[in-house]
Amino acid sequence: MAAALLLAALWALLPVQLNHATDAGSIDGCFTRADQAPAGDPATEIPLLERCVDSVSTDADLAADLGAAYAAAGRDADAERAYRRALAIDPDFADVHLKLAEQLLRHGSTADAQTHIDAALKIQPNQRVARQLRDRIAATQ
Amino acid sequence: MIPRLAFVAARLLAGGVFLLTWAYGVTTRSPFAFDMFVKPQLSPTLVSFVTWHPAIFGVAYFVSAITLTPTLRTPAATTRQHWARGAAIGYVVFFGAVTWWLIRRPYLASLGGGDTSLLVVPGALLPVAWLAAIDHLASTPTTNTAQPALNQQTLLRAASGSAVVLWAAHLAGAWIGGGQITVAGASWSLLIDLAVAQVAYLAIAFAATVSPRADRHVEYWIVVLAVGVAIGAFGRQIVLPPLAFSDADRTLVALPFGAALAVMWSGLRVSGGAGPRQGAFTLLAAPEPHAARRVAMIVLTLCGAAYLTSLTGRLDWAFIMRQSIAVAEAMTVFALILPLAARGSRPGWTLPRLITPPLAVVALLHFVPLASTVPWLRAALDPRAAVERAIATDALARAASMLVVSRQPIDSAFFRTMLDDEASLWSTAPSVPPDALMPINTPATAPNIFLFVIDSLRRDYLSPYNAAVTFTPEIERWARDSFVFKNAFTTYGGTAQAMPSLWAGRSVPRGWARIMKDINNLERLIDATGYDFLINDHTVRAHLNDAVPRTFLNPFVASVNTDLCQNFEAVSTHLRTRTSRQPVFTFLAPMNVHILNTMGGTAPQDYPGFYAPTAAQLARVDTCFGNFVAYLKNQGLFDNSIIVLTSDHGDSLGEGGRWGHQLYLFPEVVRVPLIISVPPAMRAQLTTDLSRVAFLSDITPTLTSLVTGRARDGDPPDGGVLLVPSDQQVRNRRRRAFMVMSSYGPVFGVLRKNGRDMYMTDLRDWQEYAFELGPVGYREVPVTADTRLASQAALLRDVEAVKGLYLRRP
Repeated sequence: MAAALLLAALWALLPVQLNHATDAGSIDGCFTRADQAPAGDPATEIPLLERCVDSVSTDADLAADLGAAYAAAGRDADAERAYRRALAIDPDFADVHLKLAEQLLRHGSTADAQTHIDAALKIQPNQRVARQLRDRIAATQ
Repeated sequence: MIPRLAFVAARLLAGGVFLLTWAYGVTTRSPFAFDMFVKPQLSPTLVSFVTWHPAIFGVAYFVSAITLTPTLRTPAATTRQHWARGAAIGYVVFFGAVTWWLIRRPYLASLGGGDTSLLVVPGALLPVAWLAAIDHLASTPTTNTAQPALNQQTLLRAASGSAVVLWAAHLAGAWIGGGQITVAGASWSLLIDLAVAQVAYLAIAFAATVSPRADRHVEYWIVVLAVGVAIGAFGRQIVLPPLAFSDADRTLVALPFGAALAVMWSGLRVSGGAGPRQGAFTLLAAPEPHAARRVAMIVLTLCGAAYLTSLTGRLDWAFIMRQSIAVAEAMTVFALILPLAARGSRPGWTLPRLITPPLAVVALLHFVPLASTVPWLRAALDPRAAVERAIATDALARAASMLVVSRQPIDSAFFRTMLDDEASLWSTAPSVPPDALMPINTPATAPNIFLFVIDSLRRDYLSPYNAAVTFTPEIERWARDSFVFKNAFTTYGGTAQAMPSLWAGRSVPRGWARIMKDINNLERLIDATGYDFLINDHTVRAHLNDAVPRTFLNPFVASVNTDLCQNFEAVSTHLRTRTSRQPVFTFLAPMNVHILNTMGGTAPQDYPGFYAPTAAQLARVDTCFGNFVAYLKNQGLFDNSIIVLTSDHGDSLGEGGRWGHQLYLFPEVVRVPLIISVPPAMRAQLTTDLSRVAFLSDITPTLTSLVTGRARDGDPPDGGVLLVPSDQQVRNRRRRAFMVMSSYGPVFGVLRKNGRDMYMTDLRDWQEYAFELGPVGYREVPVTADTRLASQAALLRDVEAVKGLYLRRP
């Protein structure tokens, strides 16, 4: 009977938790935020996005959202920095290439803008916005 | 009198045939196994077995009946012998009639899957149990006091000794085979082997201690029951889940099998003179009296098991065979060591001595994960990594970890829900969604379409995806003017569902074969456009509509031998000799780089950083591909052709000791190449997003859109259009999470962040993984709570979406 009791006790004790994930902890909704399109007033989202971009440093969409929020708030230098950060994470993010190109064109950095338009066209060949930007540059030259 | 050796051989032969009959019944009982293996007649051996089954069964019946001659001829002196004689006569008459019936009506050949197999599954075990009953009734119930009794010291020595011997043998095998062995992996493997030994020790100890001292047959029968349950549990937990049995079916199938094997062995022992009254020792110990021969037999068993394991090679399903071999090996080694362990052992049982070894093992099992939470110990003691390393070296440890040790207490509700969903995806017959077929505009003219799905082709083995590849220059040249989708995936790790999802243009349920004719959008495009349809494929071939004319290329080449170069020759010949001027639609699914054709293969040269047999095959395929493109250009066909090059899934080629793809869902399996070239005039009018997550199920909507001007454009479970007019934009999928899954078992994954992050959970052993995918390779990262929550929510959502499409009830 002792063996029976011991067997029962072992059955309860044996399950060993093997998946000891290194848990970064929940980042106050940044994960969910990254999976959703931007919503609400960009200016009020900037503090949240800044914290999220610092916390989830590998998320290109969060960085792109932050760039868009900066741009909407007129903080062009910050927007450019955030877009570059998004592209450092995901160099194939065509939309960000184009948004950055628009920022650069606004400040006269035509050559740099052209580089990003070309990058966008490699990922999205014949894309309409990219072609328009390219035509805009061509018209000024 | 029949010589003992002949008697045992006859019984093993007959038992083997009955158990094979049972196994075939089980295979056809599983809708998955029936649709995937039996119906397409993938195994010639299986086909021969079914064809010859009445004769094979007759031989088994005949030899088993001969073994009953002593019982039939000996006059019955006791009531038991009377019963034995009656049972033997009953066996001869009843199974004689069954044999006659089988010869008149070959039953196995008539099985159509599902419930029709219910009769075979228990029925095939009946003669095994019947023979065992006769053996027990015919035996003389004597008590042999010379036979040692089970005692604590004997059991502990035998169980622990077997564990250590097996562990050492498996490690030695891995070391000889050049496997990676670490101290942590080896230690963890030893711990698990010892834990298995302690469970066996306690189960047998339980039987011995609850039995009355004077009458050991209670102990004997409890051990028979325990052996039966152990074999049944192994079958239920390890062998049957990949065959997609529901929980109830697994129990109904596995436990009678375990019981039949246990009583068959018991019957053989009893017929050899041992008996239940002599206690469990006679059942458990192998009947070989000489110690030296026992040691030789242990060595032979270990070598034999290693040899059999090596034969399984890199087969996709090898893990089941390896673990079955490991369990059989463990039981044999234990049976051989037991009498050796009995020498000089002290009789009796004491509680402290009984509980100390198992408790010590349990304490150690808990100490390792606990200690691994200490940062500086984590790398050395990470239990999951250690178990994974142990997997490659110790199949017994792997089987045990799947049975007991790796149960995952976190999120058990999620795991149970997913397992229920998995079971319902398999067990419920799918219905055809109302919008299954896309509306088609019949075009006035259409381009030729050449769709090449190279089975198991990895994207990182093609130069457009990996600059380190030097052996696919022709594909690289063609890809320069093509759309190279960087983020293409298969939704299904495994041909069985990947291929039909491509044809249907959306996700498909497990039982797709039953509704394929009604959901096949690619075939609808071919039919509506009036294509000259050429095909070489063995997955959907049996499920195409007969009304759509087609030419099956290289029809006499077996599925596994299909070769792209040979297919190209057949296409060229067809194009040269045909009288029709219709545009051509060609679908080829060659097996050149499938693991079945590359495992253990050789290569004429080294391909550093690549699995050479695969690289060598690809180099040849690349040359043929280049020649075919040149042929199309010479014939003036290229500029009016759409060419698609992709694969149904990737493959593990040694990463982490893994080979194949059937039950793996690691990034190298779910990432696929997808390159599309279109006529130059068309190309200038199109745009896309080459970095967008694309699936095989997007190919049919894309082709439909290119040919007819419109198609259903959605996100999974629907397929979407990858190439759109340049004044439009493709659907943005960046913020969606997507489910991927194994075609053959409960292994699921989630792609997030535009395919840059992947979560994978293996419900067979409740493991979970997270990966960051780079342009070429990937790296494993810790599973965070955020990853887990976001991914599991996406999984539940997407499984529900597939169920919503196909599992509706009227």
